Amino acid sequence: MNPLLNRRSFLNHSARGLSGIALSSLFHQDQLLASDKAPIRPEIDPKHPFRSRNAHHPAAAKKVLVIFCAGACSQVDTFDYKPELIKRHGQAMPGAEGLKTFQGEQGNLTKSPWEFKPRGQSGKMISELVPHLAELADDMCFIHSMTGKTNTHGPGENFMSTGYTLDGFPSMGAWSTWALGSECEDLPAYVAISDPRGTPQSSVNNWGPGFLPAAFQGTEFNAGKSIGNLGIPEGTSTKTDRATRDFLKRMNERHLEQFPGDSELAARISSYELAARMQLSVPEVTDLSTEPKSILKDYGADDPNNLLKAGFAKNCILARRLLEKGVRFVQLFNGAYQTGGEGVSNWDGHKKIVEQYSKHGPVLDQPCAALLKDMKRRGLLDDTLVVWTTEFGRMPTFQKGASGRDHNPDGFTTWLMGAGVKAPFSYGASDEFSYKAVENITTVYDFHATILHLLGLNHEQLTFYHNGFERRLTDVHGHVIRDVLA
Amino acid sequence: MVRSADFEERIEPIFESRCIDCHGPDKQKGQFRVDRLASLLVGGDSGEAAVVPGEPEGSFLIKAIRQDEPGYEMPPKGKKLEEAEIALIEDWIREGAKTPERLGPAEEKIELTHWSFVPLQKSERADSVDGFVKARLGESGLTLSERADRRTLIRRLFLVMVGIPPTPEQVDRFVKDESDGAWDRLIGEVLASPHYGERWATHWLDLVRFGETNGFETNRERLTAWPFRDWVIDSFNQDKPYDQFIREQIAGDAVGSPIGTGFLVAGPFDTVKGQDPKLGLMQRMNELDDMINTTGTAFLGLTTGCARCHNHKFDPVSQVDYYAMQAVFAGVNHGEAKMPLTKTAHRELTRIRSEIVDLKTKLAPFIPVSKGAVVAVDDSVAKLLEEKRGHGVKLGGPEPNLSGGSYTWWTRTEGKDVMIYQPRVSGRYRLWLSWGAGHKTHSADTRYILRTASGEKEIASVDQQRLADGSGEISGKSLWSGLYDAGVHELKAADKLLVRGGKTGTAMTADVVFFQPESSEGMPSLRAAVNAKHNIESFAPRRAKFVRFSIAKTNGAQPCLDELEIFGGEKNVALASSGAVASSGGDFVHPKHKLEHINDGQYGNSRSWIAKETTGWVQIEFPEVAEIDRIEWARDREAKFSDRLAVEYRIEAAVEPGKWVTLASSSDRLPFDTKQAAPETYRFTGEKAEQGRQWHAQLKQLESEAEKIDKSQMVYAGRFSQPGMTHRLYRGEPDAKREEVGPGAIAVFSSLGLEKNAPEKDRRVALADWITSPENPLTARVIVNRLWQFHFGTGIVDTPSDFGRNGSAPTHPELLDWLAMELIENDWSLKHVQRLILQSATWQQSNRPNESAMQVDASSRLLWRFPPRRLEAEGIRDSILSVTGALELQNRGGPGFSPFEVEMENVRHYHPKKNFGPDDWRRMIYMTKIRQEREQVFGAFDCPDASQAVPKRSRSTTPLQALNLLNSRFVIQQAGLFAERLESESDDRATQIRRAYELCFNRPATNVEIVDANSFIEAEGLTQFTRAMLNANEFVFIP
Repeated sequence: MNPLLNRRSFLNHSARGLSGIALSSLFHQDQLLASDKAPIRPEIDPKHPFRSRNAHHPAAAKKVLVIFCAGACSQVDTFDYKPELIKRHGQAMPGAEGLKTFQGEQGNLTKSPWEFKPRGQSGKMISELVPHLAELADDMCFIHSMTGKTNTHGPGENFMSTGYTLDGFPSMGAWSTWALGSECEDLPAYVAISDPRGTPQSSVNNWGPGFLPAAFQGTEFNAGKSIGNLGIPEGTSTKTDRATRDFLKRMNERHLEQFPGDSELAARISSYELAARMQLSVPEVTDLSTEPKSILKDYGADDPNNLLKAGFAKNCILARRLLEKGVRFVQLFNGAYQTGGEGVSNWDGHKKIVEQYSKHGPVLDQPCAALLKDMKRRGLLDDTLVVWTTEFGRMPTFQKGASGRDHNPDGFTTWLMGAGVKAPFSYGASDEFSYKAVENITTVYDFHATILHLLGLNHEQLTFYHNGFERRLTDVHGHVIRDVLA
Repeated sequence: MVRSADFEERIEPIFESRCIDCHGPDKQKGQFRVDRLASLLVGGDSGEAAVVPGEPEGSFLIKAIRQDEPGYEMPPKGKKLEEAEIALIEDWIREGAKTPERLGPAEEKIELTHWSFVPLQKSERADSVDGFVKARLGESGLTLSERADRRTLIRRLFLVMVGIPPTPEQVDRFVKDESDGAWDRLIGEVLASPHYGERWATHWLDLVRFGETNGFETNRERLTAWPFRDWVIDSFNQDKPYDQFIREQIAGDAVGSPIGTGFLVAGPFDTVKGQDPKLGLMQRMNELDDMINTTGTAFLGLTTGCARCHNHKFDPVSQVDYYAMQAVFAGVNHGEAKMPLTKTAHRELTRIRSEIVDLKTKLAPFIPVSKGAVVAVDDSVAKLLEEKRGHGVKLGGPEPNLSGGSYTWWTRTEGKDVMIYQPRVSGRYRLWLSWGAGHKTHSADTRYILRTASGEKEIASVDQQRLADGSGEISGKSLWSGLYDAGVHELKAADKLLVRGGKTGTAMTADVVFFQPESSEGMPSLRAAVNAKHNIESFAPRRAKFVRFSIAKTNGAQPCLDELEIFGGEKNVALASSGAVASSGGDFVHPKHKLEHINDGQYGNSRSWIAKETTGWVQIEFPEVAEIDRIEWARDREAKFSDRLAVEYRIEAAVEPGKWVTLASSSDRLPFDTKQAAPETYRFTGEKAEQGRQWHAQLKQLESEAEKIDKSQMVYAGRFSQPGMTHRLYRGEPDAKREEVGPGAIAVFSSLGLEKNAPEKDRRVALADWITSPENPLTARVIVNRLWQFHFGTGIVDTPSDFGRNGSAPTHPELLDWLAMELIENDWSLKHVQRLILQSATWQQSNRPNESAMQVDASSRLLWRFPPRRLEAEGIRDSILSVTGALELQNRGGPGFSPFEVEMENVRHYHPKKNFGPDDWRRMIYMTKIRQEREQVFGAFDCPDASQAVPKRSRSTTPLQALNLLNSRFVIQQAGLFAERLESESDDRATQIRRAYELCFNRPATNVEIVDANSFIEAEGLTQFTRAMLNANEFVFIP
């Protein structure tokens, strides 16, 4: 939108009937406007791009925490219990002759090496790979019939984070913060906390702005890695820095006098003030030294024997602190890009799943469970939606000649928790082996539509015009999964 | 026989009661109606024929009313049709689907009435840019603003046309030039500048999603994509006729400009191919979709992508049209193509190559013979006992530097052991120690302890502030110590050397240690470390029937060799073609990697061998015993891959099976380290050493020249082959193939007149001919609108890549058509159109707001003023470098510079560079375009990442932008250079301030500004002042 067109003049012009020119890019779709699916554009004050904005309808959740297990975390070994798989362990999977998945041919059906046990009052069966998370079974709302569109990691992560398998589309967090701003203007509205081992396979595309304004890109940092260029330059004192910014402001204000009312110039002036506030608030929120020892212990952040776990635990504490401050959208990654071979640094357990998951399970389990319990204790789950996901699932068979599972986008598990979600609850189901979704088959589009719905956003009306299309997070698909709503 | 009367009696009533509300005269949901025969036959959005006379099974209407098609269950609300009703309709179809005449003919021509689909219209109303703009302003009671002052004009002109501000001298000259035609001359200068193309190519590269990595998860480099970037720059600079510019991008290989087709493959490319066949098909469909879409949007302003799955909902693009265009591109594949060498280049290359052969023959005696004797253990591979604090890098010190590029350091604690070297050797060895020196914090008494079965023995205590010979400056610069002779010791395989903390200093260090057999003379001198591209093992001539290459360790994953060459004199005796047989301890199975590739005489990753496990061996058996004296091997002689490199290996020979003798091994090579400089393959000793060095210098020079010429031949411009048949895909699903579709364009506009199996190149030529035809109503309109947009910030049509019914209407339709006709009539000269714009009063008017005009047209779309706007990322970066004096303006073209250091994992990772020099100070158009990763400072200024075509960048304002410009090392360094520049030009503070204003804002500073700046500089220094200047609004805005 043109910077000179603030809210008031927008209304004025509409009243004068000349907006046909000024606003043609907004209102070019007469057909859509007439319908009940007219795009709803957020009214963004250029001076305060992150100020909280109204949702489309009353929202159950104000904030979102996405816990993303990169590398494709196996549903077979965590949350999707299949007695029939245990029974037919070691037999060929019916109908799997000649089946070629991502890495090729299949071996036999293989039960999970981790035992499943009933958990909580609901008795939900969850495996011993994640015993701490299992304690939260009664708070979880499982979707056991999730399906994806690709079995390659990069496109899979893209699909889960942006709704498209291709690169370059806005991430869920970008859509959410573009629509809603944030509850806290002094921190980035949208934070991506990368794993201590590095960024996920699709890297920044997981939190990219796509064609939305750059302001709504996720800002990446974690407990061990700060925002680039946040600190004042080496050799410059705080006092000098302050003086320089004041001098700059005087220059800019003298310049602005020649362009009264130009909001793009004014927005640039206020962006420097916002930056200065961030320089104070980001170090404060990332400083975990004020956390009591008991918290560090609960999360496992003090574990001297598992530094990786301790690192991830610190990221979990950071996630909680950000949400407490009102950051709208937090993505917490568990697992990074491939280093040292497949499945070593993420959940991509193709060939040695026992060895690899035995390392990954403990890194995720205690810290993540502690985070959720802590959030619950502090009441954060009342207004925060928690989404646990991965890019796709894995096969109930082992790969031919290997001791691990290949990619499987045809039926996997994700879960929700917190604001607006029914729990304990399990929605949809995969077949008797956990190979394909068969009951209440759910798409990633449905998943996204539901998350937006919980944030008070209509996924069909949250659109951005780009290159000839009214683009949506959900493309032209998606239905809110009503059954999982509280 | 059912007659048409039956339709009226029995079928129409069903349609009328159940269908016609949504599919009739009032609404045509899914672009389908049941009251027109043509619509019934063609069908709606699904792309499927609703009614196929005689074939109810093939009629989509039946599938829809039987509710067999997900998403197309008809009617969508209310109850399903009765079985009897469905049966009636089936009967009617089976018997020919006859309809009465009032349902119209079987084919209806679609009338094109949308403004952009009709031919260009000549208007009588005006005949100039200003004429049309004033007429439209007049309708709203507005007028043009007065002319901007000359300083504003020249600044605007330079920023928009060249992308950097004019120099104060250029401004001065223009301001003082009172002659007629001063402005026109300035326009002429700017359009003739080579930097004009550098600026305008940015816009085009955005539009064609040009990137220099593949994108997706691995995001590998695309090293030969840059010639397309230079080609675009040159095209703009030469004012290449726009029709030719298009033709060369679609079919440059047919018109003698083969780099142009870099356009087709400029987009992302998913290189991760799985075994799942459906996945592979989908990836291919996505590649083609990218080409179709980019062609449609860039040249025609038409979105075609949605027709992949169903007929376009707004524009006359059917699913068949989409697949017809897919057939045009079906033979285009991603990849490099060899560009023909010019005759001169070819002659030059032949000459250089023959000189290289001569020199190599002369140099052969200087290749060091492998003794397999000295064992080196670098700190990078030795075992750490204490957590290290870090590494010293960029080491100075004695040459040749054997440090491997870095040393390790720890906090010193007395008596604590920090590192263990275990050479696993047995016998009497001289120990050569080395460490990191140059810092006064280092311990002056670090101990080296030999631990043997009989106990511990201190063999040395060394001063780590200084070099091995006790010399060296302690200046705080990290040094490698050189070698310290720790005497000869008896060693067993289990013995270890420990580094132990002494009594002094806060830090202690360790670096490479050599274990040299007592028998050998002099200081150890190691051979070059292995490298991925080429390694030579020379040894005294020896007879062998078997040669075995065993790998104990790689730099990651299973080892790969692209070719194992075993020479006796000049003859490679390992070739399968001369009867040698390869065997191995196990192979990794992949079409590109096979055992037979080890000795097939072909280089490169695609013809290589990979072992099954991370260690392994490969063996060559000669048909008979041969005399051999040299082995050459590499991971990838084409230098594209550097993983899987054997870094610990042994090469053995035998005349009889099992009786192995070691020929060479990695033990006397420098430790492998990716950071070290290019290896020296030769060692120059003896009386001819000087001569050898000279030859070697010549060789290096020639090799780099040859490589340059040779590399210039490969360009990422796509590969072409004759494709198979293209099919329409229902819902765009690769496994839902429908009828065959031949190559074509959008049927309502034109047929390309091609056979279904037309030759591949002809298809692209025909498409290019249609797009560039003066009769095409879209092409010229779309490009003049883009030009307008980049001049004024917004186009006449503000949906620049969508001129379809879903896009915006033009604010000045007659002006748009007039400009389009000017373009075509002037041989498609873009510069001509730009000159028309620049010469107009509309372009030259003031940018100041005016309250009454704001009331009417706040966004200035009617152009009652020149709308100011923020510069793009490139403009800001180039402007900064320009005013500080750092800009390498003359360093034009060629391979780009990267803002990242690349981590060479399978999945590439890009880490922002921390230090910058003149190589980084070229214009940003030459910055290697990494997909997904945005450059650390300027990426935040809405700089696209080339994942998607971007016709118009968003322009956002964010706190991260502020942080980047205020605090980044890049900008701070420039602020320092700027301050130095000002100080070098004058000692007088006021003059420095005035100069800074002239440089940054192209205007004199006011008294108030000088006073303010002066007192600020007094308090905080000149660099803080320059830092602020580079952040100012006035600096980053086009006035």
